[in-house]
Amino acid sequence: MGKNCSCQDSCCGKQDQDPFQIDSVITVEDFTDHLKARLGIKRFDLKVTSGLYKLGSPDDSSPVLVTGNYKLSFDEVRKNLEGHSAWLLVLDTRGINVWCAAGKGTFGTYELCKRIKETKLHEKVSHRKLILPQLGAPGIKAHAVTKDTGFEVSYGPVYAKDLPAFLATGTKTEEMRRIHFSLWERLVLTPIEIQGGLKTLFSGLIIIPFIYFALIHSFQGMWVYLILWLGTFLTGTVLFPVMLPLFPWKSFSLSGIVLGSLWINVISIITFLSWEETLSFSFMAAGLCGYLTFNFTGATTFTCPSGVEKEIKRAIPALITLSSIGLLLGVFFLVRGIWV
Amino acid sequence: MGLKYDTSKVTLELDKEKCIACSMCLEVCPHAVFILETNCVEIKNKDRCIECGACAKNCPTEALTVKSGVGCAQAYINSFFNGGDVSCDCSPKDQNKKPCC
Repeated sequence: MGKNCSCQDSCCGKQDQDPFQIDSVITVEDFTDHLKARLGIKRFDLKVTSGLYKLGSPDDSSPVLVTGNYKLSFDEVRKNLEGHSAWLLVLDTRGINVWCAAGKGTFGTYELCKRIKETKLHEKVSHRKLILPQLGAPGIKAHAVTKDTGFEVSYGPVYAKDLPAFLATGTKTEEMRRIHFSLWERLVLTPIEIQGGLKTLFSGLIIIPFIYFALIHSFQGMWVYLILWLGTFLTGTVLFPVMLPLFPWKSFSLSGIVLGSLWINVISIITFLSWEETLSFSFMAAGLCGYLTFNFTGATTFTCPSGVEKEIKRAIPALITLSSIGLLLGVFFLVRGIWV
Repeated sequence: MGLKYDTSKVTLELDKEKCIACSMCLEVCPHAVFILETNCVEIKNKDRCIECGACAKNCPTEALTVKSGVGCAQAYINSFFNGGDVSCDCSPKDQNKKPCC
């Protein structure tokens, strides 16, 4: 459901035709798209055409809900409105979710006002009220929208699942205003973290010594090094998000440094790693893991830019130092091993 | 413990003189930073602020100010190495790579 956006479509231009008709059914095809979004497969192609949609059979008194044109956002809204008739105004957020798009201003006042006029919303409904997702607020100046279009902005709940209750009562409970970051919410983000981590130049560089050590050791023992590196990687991208609320300190990179070196020490107990290897790998893993966990700040619902700016000043020099020490130690032990 | 981050440098400020107690900030804040007092709002939980900018943007009297942005390390690392603004990959930059319109 929902038109997929392509260059031939009028997705970013004017909507000439009548509002698109949609329902609340999530098809197998939709579900596949959701999986793709979570796994990062063609993530930026998961857009729907922006414009005005008819969910069920809305009339001129039906509510108008605004969302972004990311497939996950769009489907989340229509899925939760089963049995309701409503107008859905989809803004062109370039296939990005509402919160991130609001931060960038693509889910913004200008775009909203433009869409209202383009879709001739004034003629479709007799009331002058819009329901926006609360997390769209960083991009919207509610009073400016009213001034420009005559439509009054009402911020709905954070989560689309609360929409039926919000529509029924017209009010938001304290709970509906709050954002969470549950274990499940953290877990669904990890495939993207793994991908993101793999892409970084840093992890590309740090894998080289691991492979090198694996090669100069026997091929028989190579799988241990593979597990060693993979484990470090998964510690930073999966174990850390899972354990997030358990750390006694607030620094993300520090958590990664501790987890990374702990992982190497745990593995060294059960494998044949020499003390030289354990020592140099601990430093390298601390550097890599700290970098990966620091990156998770971008995925959370509770980190602030001023905090990240503060952490980065200490984290980057620390991570570079740790990795360098690990590398130098590794090279030192290697050379000594060959020449002594 | 818990989902807390370093908020010691949070830039959120409230000018109580300008506040008209409309409660718009309470409406848009996802972390319950504000509470409503008799004649104005109060910043109750500054340690929960993520500087998303929703409150300042929607404050009709500009009583609230905050240096807003994304709390994302990648964004800062990008700007450090490539120069330019602090912005993560999830920006319209992708639009240039894969033009839609």
